[in-house]
Amino acid sequence: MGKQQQPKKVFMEGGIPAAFIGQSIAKHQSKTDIGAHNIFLGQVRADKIGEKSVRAIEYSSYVEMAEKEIHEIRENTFKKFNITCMHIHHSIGLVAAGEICLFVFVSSKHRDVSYKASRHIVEEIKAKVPIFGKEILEDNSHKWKKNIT
Amino acid sequence: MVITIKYFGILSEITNKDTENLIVEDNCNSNDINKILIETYPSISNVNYIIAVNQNVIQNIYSLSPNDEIALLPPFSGG
Repeated sequence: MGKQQQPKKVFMEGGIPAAFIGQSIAKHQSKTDIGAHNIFLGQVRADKIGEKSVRAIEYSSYVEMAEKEIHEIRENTFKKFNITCMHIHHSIGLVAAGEICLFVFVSSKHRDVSYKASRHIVEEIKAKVPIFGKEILEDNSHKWKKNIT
Repeated sequence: MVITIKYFGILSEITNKDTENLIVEDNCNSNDINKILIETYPSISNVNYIIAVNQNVIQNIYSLSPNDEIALLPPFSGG
């Protein structure tokens, strides 16, 4: 059974910087029981809606419930998969097209379980965590996004 | 009794509120709240929302207690 992590801050204001992701990887160099890291990054797409492109997504959330749901996803993932550690970060506020809005980082001894756990976490976040994305178009009109299930 | 309603995403846009307190009858349930809200904000019935009570999504009709926190959640779009 994997080691349980303390509840951590999930939400980050704005896009998740590449440097933050790099630093997260570097922090694992001391954990030499890990043989596989699996990283999933969600990026904001400049989808076309009619004639206009999405220039950003403004994320809002029912933060207290979202943190509780993510805590449960974390606990269940540790129970279900033999992983060493797990980090989940999601943006809140405005994220421009091309920026990272979701960072899921799973580590385990061997690769197979890291792929499975990563997929599981991302699907659970999309289905269970109350996060709402407002797609802001080029002319500053907007459309509320829905996850495809 | 007084209950607190929280609105998110498109629902806070429709109601023009993030939160409001409603005074309701003591034995009221989640369906009664739905009826009151649809009367007050008819266009929320176009949104496929779910209801959470005290941060748990409810599946069935739920009898409300004083100080319950009700949240109306439109479709999620995280990730």
